[in-house]
Amino acid sequence: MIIDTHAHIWKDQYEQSGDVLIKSADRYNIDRIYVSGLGVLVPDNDEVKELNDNVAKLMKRDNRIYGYCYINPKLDDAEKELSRGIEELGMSGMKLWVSTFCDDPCVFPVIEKCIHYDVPVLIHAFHKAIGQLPNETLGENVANLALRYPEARIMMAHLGANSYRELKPIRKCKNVWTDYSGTLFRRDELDHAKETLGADRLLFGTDMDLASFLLKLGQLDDSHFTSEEREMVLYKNALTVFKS
Amino acid sequence: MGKIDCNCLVGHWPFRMLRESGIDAIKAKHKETGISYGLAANMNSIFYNDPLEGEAELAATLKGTDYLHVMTVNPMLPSFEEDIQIAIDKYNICAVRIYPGYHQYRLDNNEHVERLCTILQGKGIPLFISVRLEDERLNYIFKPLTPEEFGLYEFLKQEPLCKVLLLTIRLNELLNHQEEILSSKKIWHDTSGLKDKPFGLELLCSKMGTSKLIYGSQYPLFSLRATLYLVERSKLEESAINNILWNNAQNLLRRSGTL
Repeated sequence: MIIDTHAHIWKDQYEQSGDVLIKSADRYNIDRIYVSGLGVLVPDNDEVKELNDNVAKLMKRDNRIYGYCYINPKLDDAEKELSRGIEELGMSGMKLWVSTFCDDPCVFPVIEKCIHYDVPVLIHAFHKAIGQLPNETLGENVANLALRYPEARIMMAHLGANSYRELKPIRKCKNVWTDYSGTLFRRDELDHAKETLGADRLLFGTDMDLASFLLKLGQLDDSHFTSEEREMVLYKNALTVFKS
Repeated sequence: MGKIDCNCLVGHWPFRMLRESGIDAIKAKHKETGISYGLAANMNSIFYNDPLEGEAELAATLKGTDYLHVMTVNPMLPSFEEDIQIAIDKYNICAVRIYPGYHQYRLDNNEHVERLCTILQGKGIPLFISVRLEDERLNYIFKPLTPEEFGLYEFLKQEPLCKVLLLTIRLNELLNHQEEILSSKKIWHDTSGLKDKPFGLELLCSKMGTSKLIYGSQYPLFSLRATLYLVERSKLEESAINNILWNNAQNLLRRSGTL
């Protein structure tokens, strides 16, 4: 079984993005793909709603597609949109991108709502040597949030990019998992992540349609994981995070 | 048909620990994945004051193996021409590899680079240009020049004198400069930078064909299987896959004495 916990469709590219995800699921036997819609860096209410509607449309198109409800926590409608995503659209979790740092107080109400719904939250986190965005979350932001809400189930995306820096802050936060999605594929990243966090906190994710499934599978297969640990990464840990 | 890895590295990488470094680790990885041998350069040579010391290390490391020696050169250093002749005589090098991003010089309008290319043309030795060694977003201690900053594309437009292999160039960079690359009979590129987009390799080959593409992993900095899967598990024709994994490297390296 393979569960991809991190994929996207893009605003105004619903058809193309969706086709790539479904083609990948067909070709590589991916059982589930958890998808969020993304567009501009700081979207308004209308865009958030449109993106979530597009994800819901894709969920109806193919039952291997599961949805994240994408939220800009700065918007007044954030809690209402999260409720719509979980209750009406049947989504499985919440996605935060770069509207704000994830430990900003405006995020707290939607995290509390995720706890209420018993769904996890996927948080973009990316440390960059160049091009860091103004509100781009880092490992320490994720740790702050996780420590404030130990009952929340949090997924930090991309190993935080610079995993050697970003994994240490979350090491103590047992309610944080991390995916290694994206176009980074350094040989040693996953071994380092396993040594830092344990294999039970690593999730398979691709970041499609930006990166390829094969790139991420090859990276896992090159790492020093036992077959049991490989299965944990490919799907078992995701089953724990999503409770199904 | 066999497989060749045109881009593998031995030595120490100063910015993080490599769990699989050294020629034995490379040989083991290649054996696991069905790769016959590789073209190896020494990362130490990038950072040594005298890169030729690194070449002596590399020669000792590769002795008794099927691996081919790729010599690291910084053409901004004096007497690099003599070093190349020494390496040809002593180490039977198959290629010269340069790192303009790390050694901080431009490729275009640079008399040192022109001299290097002239020498390599005369010797029938290809020039490997390392476009990058890490994703730029991760270079947080030392920032090498970007391809734009070291004049890669201006250099390509001028039609290089010698054969050139571009290492770790990315998909969009290739697609944006396909005209220069396709119009030249002397420019090849490897697979180690093709990390973007699902089915990106198929896209690239549909636009640029498969005669210029050579399998290279940049292992152990990068995951080898990541890029090998992109090639072997693609929907390309078997002949195209054979070109990427074997034939094109043979064509690039073909000269008396190398193969």
